[in-house]
Amino acid sequence: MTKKNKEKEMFGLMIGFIYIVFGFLQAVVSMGMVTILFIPAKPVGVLVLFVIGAVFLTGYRELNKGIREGVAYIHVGIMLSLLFSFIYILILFAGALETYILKNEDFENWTILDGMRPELYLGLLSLLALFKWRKDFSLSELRPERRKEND
Amino acid sequence: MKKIRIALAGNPNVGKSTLFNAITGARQHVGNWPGVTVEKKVGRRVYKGVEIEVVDLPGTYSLTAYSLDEIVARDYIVEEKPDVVVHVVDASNLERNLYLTTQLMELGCKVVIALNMVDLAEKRGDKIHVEKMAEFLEIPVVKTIASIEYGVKTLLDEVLKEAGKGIHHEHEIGYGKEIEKLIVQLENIIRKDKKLSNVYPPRWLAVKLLENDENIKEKLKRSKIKKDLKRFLAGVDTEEIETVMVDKRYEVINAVLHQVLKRGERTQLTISDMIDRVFTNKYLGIPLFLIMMWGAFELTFTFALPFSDLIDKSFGLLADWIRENVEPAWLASLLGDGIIGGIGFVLVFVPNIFLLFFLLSILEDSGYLARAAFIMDKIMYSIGLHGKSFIPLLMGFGCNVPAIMATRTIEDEKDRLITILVNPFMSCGARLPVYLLLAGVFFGKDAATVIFFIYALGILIAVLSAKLFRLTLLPGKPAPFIMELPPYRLPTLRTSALHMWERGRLYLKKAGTIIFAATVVIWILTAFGSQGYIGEESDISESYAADIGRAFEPVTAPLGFNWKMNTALVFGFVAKEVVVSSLGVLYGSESEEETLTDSLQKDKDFSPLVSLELMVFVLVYVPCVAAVAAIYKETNSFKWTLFSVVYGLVLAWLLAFLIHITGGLLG
Repeated sequence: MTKKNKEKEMFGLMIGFIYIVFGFLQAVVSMGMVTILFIPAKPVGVLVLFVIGAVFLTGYRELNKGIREGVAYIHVGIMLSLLFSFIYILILFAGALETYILKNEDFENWTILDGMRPELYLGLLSLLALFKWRKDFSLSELRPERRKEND
Repeated sequence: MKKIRIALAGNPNVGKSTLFNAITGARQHVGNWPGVTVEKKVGRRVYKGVEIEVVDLPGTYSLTAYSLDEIVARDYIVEEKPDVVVHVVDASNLERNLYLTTQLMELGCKVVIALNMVDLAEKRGDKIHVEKMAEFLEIPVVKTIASIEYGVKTLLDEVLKEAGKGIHHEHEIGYGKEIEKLIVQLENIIRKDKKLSNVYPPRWLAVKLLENDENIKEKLKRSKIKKDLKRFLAGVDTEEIETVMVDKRYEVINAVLHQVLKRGERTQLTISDMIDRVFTNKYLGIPLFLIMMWGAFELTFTFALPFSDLIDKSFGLLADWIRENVEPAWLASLLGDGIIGGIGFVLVFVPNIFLLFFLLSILEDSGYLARAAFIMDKIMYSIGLHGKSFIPLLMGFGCNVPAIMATRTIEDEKDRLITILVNPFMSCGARLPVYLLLAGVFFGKDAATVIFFIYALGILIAVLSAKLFRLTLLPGKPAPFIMELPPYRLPTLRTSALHMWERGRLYLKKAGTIIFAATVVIWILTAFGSQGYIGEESDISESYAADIGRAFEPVTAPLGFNWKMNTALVFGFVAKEVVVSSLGVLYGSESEEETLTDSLQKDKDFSPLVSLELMVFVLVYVPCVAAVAAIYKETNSFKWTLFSVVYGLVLAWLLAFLIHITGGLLG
């Protein structure tokens, strides 16, 4: 296995584990057993965290077994993690708009910290990974090629 | 000006609709949803002084009529005889695509091949020798990339050249000595019917008869040679011959491909391969589908909220201004409470609706929804539905009417009927405003979760109903399902926005027509009663609207619904959004200062439990009038249409009652 894939394998293990742990913490918070800062009581969020964690851990397991294609799970896991981070950044933005611009009564005591969720801040780890392995994330293959009629 | 007519034919997912748009500039939906191109789509383009009429045919894998799409495409080519057939071929999947080419060649029509998506094939390292391909097939071949309009002019040049040529000879595929002998004998019989042989090429008809093509046999039932044909075919093993014919066609294709295609070596995983490996994973595929849908709903509700609030505030200000400045009072009430109140409450949800359609377009255009159908196939089969049913069901999230029409591609009648009957349980966009309003008022920040579960409940009801129908009314096993996965593409902002607009504008149009009319009717029914005009100070419980609502109270009282809810549900039959505009009118009439949210929260009949019941009732009860008409049109049966309506009503009542009882027990 290449050094790069070994790094991806370890990254998959680490981040997959973190997502699963946060999933459990959010499940506990959702059941009303404890309150933890920056982890809301959102049961569906638990599913999101578990699934992303499972994608990373599947990548780790395959790479660990020497299955080169397992790298797909690490790459797609990073993309999923960033996608959900982006979704919650947009929702954070909407919350800020309600609070500071529209002055909606329902958002009277809302602060930026209320919009913090594991799906949002765990995406930072994936952002670092994306930056490190950016050359492996070219989406040019998915774009139609630009060419002129008579070339 | 000279005029010619061309038809675009090709397999599904080869970019036919995109090429149609590139040639005509017309706006048409792009994708592989069954039903999208089932109707004939026509566009025009004037090129080099010639008016070209372009007909977009449904996507087909062959000209052997297995589904309605294939029959539509074949009948058009054979009977309407376009000047040129442009066969759109996916360059990255030549072997399978050229099968249709062999059939078009046999048909004797003038064909030009548009070798589409060459960029994908070349990126994979494939090298296609276009000149050699044209030489071997004796058909002009042009490289195209329809999404960027590359090659379109060259294609049109070839089309004009081909259309200008004289009599075209039929290309023949040799099927071996024995079959050829049968073909000649059949041709001789067919030629006895001059009328028939003038419309259909005799050799092609003979080939189709030997393939045991049911549609062709049906057409020949009216021919004077039907007895001769029946006698001849009785002694022929058509099943075996069909297999040999398919093999022979592939032999020809492989012989050509061997000369013209050099496949690239694939050593690395492409992005498409990577995404597919994960998203079609046996265990992760369905959870991934669920979280993708969840992400879409979370964005639809939460991100669109400030934009909806902005519209809400604007309509509130407008209604206030009208109430203060318009005379007489009844006109102010009609404009402020009726029209602004009613339509305003529907338009408030425009950001949500448009955002949901935008996100669904992204998922569809990227190629993900085709994967979703693939991963759901096993489940669909186990519940008694055909794999192809998943796509019409998914389309139901947008609107049930085209979704019901999209079931036409399902060949088996029972599979199709079950899909039609369960389709209304897929929560269409029109029901979303009802959920957004009620969940927003009674469930606050958990509204997105509640709405997600309402959608999930719709899917569950569809699934369980399908199983029930399969076990009782329509027993049997679903037919096997073969589907092709299109390559992943990065959706462009322009295309997704265009698709969003195409779907979303129907919502706006409905707001300006049906909902507007329904709102005025509801206002009249609330403003008038048996004693005439009630006036703004009077109690609307004396109005005709109240009479209508009260008439249903014996049925809905066990559910905890009051007459206002009943009236809104009755009008919801016109269009589901009318439930919201009705509540807007009915609750807006009581106070000028209060918002609808305040009025609903203050109503002692409303509670989170009742709002949940109402949402479930709206999800399940009768489909809107357009969907009922579509069910009638597609089933061609009054019995099944009535069954669909009654089943939905009974089930809605039972589910709402169950929630009422359970909620009551849980306190």
